[in-house]
Amino acid sequence: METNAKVLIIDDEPETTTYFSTVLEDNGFAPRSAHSADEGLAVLKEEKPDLILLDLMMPYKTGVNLFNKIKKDPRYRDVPVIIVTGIRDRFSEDHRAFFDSLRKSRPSAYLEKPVEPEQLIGAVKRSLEAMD
Amino acid sequence: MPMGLPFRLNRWSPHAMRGLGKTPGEGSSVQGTPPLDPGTIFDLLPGYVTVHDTGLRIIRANRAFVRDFGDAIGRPCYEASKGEGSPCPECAMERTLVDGRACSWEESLRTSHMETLHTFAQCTPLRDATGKIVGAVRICSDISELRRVQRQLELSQQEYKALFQGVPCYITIQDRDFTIIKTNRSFEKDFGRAIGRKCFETYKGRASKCETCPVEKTFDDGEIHFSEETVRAKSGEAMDMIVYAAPVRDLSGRIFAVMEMSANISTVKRLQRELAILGQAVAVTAHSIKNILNGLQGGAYVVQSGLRRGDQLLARRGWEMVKESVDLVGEFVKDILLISKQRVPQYEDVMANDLARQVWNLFEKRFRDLGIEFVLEPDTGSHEAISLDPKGIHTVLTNLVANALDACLEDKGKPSHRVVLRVSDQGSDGVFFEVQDDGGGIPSSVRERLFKEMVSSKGSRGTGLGLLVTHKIVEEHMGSLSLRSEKDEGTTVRVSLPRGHLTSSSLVQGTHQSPRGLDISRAGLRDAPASRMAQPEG
Repeated sequence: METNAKVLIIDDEPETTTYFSTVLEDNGFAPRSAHSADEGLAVLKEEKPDLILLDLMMPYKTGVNLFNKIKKDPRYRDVPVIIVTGIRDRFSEDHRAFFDSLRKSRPSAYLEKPVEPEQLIGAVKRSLEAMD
Repeated sequence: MPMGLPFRLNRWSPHAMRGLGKTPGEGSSVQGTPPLDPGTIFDLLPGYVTVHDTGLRIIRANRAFVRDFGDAIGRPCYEASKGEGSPCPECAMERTLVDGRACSWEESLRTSHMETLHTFAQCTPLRDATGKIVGAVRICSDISELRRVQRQLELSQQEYKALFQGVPCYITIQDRDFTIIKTNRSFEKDFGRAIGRKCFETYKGRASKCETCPVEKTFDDGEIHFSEETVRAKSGEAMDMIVYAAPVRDLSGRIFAVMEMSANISTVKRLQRELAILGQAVAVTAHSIKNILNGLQGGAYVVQSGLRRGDQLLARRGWEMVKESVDLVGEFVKDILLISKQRVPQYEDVMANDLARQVWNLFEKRFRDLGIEFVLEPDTGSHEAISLDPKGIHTVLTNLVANALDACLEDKGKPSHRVVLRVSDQGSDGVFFEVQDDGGGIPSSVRERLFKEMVSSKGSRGTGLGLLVTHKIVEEHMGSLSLRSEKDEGTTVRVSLPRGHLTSSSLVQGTHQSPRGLDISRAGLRDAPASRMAQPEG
């Protein structure tokens, strides 16, 4: 696993991006934040990350749409995506089952807030190791 | 002539006797066929048959009488058939012997086995050839069993009547045209005299039958059907009812009417709604606590990391996150207390414009500091006070304005924002308050779930309980909430309140409102699904 791996955090809650960024930096990762799906796409175009932390339940289903876009785009489809589910909305088993059914394009992990630092780092490391 | 009879019995003339003993279909007389003995015929007559002289003494009794009352020849009837020592007062047989008219009556006899029989007696005078009354024939039919059945029937009818009138539910009997043909006492008490009126007119003030009418279904298939309905008593009180319809059949089995039984379940429904809200509150509480923990945990980590790195900016950022969560705890506790407290609304006559101005004053500086325009649009028409709980409505408006402010802060897509707090007096229809923002709008996915799950539209900000608090207060006022929201255009929430207020049992003054408290249609924003605030159930 490469150190200083680039992690793109896409979440509309600034508290979450600040927290995740701090945890990732403390553990040797290089995070970047985006606070909307559009912003996330723009950052992706600038620089391909090694891993994406994606808040699924951003407004107007943009998180879901962005996940689909990422997985259909040959430029990024091999980038592991960790789905982060919000506290304000439940991540139903239906959604999880749907994603699991996607076989090749399923998320590499799911995290539900509140996320402990160890949980976050563990999921990031496992996802990156799986790509090696 | 039968033995013991000094006179001719007209019915048993020799001519008539010759006709007896024939088999059906035979000719008028058969030569050589011996006639039946009249005495035999007499003995075989059904019932108790006695022949009396003018002194009421029995001079002939049939076999059945002798069997059950003993050998009574020569004894007066009152002694032989009742064990009495003197004639019955107003003896019917005596009357017959005097006036020569047949008569009938009911009387109780006592057998030689001391058994009391209830009989139907008929008495006919006997006349000699000159027409003089020389005696009487009495025929008694035992109607004890009939009387017993009659008494049972009367008892059953009394029980039925007591049940029909006394049960603590509303009963009507309706014909095929839904016309009420019978009602019980409970029904009359709460719905008035309704015989001859239509069921749907009496219960609901409708001009036509209800779409899902259990009475109609019962007429169709003869089965019992039930439904839940909301009706209005003559006092104006709205009541939730469970209605059962059962067929009433005639002797041939045809359904000629339906019995409709209704029970008032308003209390049960209210408790159901309160439990549902409580359940939602519990779910929201769990979410809120998770939100708070997330903020505290994340903020604490960032503070620690900032201190470790010597990065004051980071530490300060983390501290802001912690502070926000602490503020959230305060709001959360306040909302929980508001939800859980059984506070009785304190109604006062209030000028709606004044109340709105108080809320505007509360927020005006904060909006100005944040660079967001906050406009008050009071009602400019006639100013009549409205009866409401000023503290409760103040809380509602505060929640709505705070939500609008947050919506503007979250919407980074516009260079400026504007929030309007509007008052509109609708006369006898009441007053509505409206809070309109031009924030980012509320996504339909959140709107659809706002009522069911009371989720907050504000992400990690907000306890989510604000929705419950607002819902509770508006419901207490029998008012309604309605909402319109468009993506990128903003959200408008309207709180409509009736003039006067409704208690749980009566309308004090003003227009009727659904006891459910939420009537999205009233505000005329029908086309928008409920968004930030509660949506009516059903």
